[in-house]
Amino acid sequence: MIQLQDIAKIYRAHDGPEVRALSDVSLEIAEGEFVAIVGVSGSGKSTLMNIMGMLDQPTSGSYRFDGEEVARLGIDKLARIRNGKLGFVFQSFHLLPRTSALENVELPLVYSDRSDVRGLARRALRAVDLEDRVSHHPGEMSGGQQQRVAIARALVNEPDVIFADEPTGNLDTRSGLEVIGIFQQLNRQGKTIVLVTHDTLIAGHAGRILRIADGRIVADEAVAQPKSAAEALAGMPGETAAAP
Amino acid sequence: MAPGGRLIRILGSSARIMRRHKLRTFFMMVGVVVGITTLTLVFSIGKGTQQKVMGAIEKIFNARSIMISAGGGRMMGRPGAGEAVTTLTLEDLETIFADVAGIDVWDPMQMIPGREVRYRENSGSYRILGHSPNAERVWNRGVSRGRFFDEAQVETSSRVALIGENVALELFGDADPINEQIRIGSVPFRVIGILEVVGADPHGMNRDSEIYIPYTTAMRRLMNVDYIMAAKLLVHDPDEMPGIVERITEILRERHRLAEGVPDDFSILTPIKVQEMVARALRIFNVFLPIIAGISLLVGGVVIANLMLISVGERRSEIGLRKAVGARSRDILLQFLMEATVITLAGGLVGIVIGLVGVRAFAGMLNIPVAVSGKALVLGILFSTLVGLAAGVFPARRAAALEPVETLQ
Repeated sequence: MIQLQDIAKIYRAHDGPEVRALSDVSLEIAEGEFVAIVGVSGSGKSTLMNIMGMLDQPTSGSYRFDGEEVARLGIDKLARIRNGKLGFVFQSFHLLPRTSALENVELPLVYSDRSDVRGLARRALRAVDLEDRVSHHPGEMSGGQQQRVAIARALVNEPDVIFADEPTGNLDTRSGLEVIGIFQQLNRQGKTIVLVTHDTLIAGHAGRILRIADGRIVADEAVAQPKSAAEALAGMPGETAAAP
Repeated sequence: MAPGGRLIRILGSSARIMRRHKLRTFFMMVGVVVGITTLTLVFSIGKGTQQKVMGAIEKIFNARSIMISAGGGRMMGRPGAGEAVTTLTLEDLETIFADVAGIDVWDPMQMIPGREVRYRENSGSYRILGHSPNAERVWNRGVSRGRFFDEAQVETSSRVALIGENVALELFGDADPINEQIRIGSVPFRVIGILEVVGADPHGMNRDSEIYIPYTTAMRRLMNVDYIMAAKLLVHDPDEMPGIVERITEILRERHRLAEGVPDDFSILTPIKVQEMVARALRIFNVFLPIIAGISLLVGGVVIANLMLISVGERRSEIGLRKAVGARSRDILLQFLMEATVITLAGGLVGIVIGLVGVRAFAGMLNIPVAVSGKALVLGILFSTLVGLAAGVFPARRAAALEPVETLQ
């Protein structure tokens, strides 16, 4: 699905020196994998995700997505691919304020060619178990619920890959586990998930961990036994969301 | 799916955002509402006033009328000071009537601005007008009682008079004036009719305080002159007016022996000139007040541009998110342009509605007909849209230039 070859990203300030955010990055992610990219702040993990998510373009190197070379495509074409094939979940949720959950989830559809906008949005909200909150505004929801709306939004266009950038960063432990649990459930259903985090504990829920430091991949290992978020939740006191 | 579908979705999205931020939307609309309300009011009141004035003028100066006055630049026999211009004669008019095709009828005019008129022990000072029997038709004014004078009476410079209602009231009270004798100056006249009531003319002069006598009588017995003050003609076909006016000018210049470059010693008034005069007088409605309305729109546009710029700044992450999920720069541009334009268009429509309500109120107050200026409606909608686009374009471009990478992390 995702094939990076010798990707480099270099920033040059007007007057200053070059900053090599990424160097010699080569990796492959197959369909159906659940990959976590782990690194500290400044390691280049966000840059890497931006490039994989086609939000930014590499300075050099090749990026084949689903067989198509996208490293040097025009920005309009990239937008089209993002709309149809990628879904994004961010640390700060980025929901439209004072807008219903349903309208938030519908947002990617505004820029697509699909019809039945309402139906697709409801289905996505059902998949994250928020059917009863379709008309609520972000201000009326907890952090965990907001992030679930964001996940529904990422799902609504039926993407091939979901990119999540520190999705649990603004959540408490329980909500964080709920969110990871949803990712695991989606992955079991066949979705490819790429998750970027600095937290190794979170990363332990994935099937494969890529470590990045100073703009280079320094480790790439499969996870023998990924932790189950559902089990962790079950073991915690208090209410859980419906079992994934 | 049609490409218009995406446009409609973005439009719907913009409209919803407008509803969401009611206070901001209100402030953005205010300038446009005030401007368009003013525009609608001003053009419509102007139109109503013009209709009223033209209506009043139409009665005595309809589309087929031409007025030739002695001396340059006098309108409709307004009693002016000084200048006894003596060059306009009956022979001039007889020649014109004979040589120029398309003239139906004409009526000469002479005037004494005020002369003492006596009946028994009552007296008053009234305006005396000398006319021909054609005056009934040409000036669209007959007698309510008695009868108009005829050709025979003109021929013999007969001392007969038609008095206005006011004159009748002041000199005769309840008594019947018909066949009674009055003195105009020192000359005795017999009253043979009462003039139809007209009221005040566009100059504000009371037409019911006038007395009509045959023009021959006026010229020979009262004034001792051989020239006339003015003449009013009715042409057959208003479309031929320009040609007829030209011919009249030629004839008069020739007869008065005016060399090239010497200005006319007469003036010709046509309905078009009258309309121009009225329009000039109403310029405040058709030019100055609309300019003020335009300034209000301009200020409104600046406010909108400012508020939108602030909005763009506040919504950086929203813009980045939209692009992340597939919006192109042009989608963002369209969205923000629409947000501005939908607001101004809504403001324009509100302004038009308020303006129309206002027109009814003012029309009643000013006693003018309720006229809805189509020009105001079209301009209103056009300018609201333009203001929205102009105000929105800079903020929209700013928004469209933002990238997800800058705003999302």
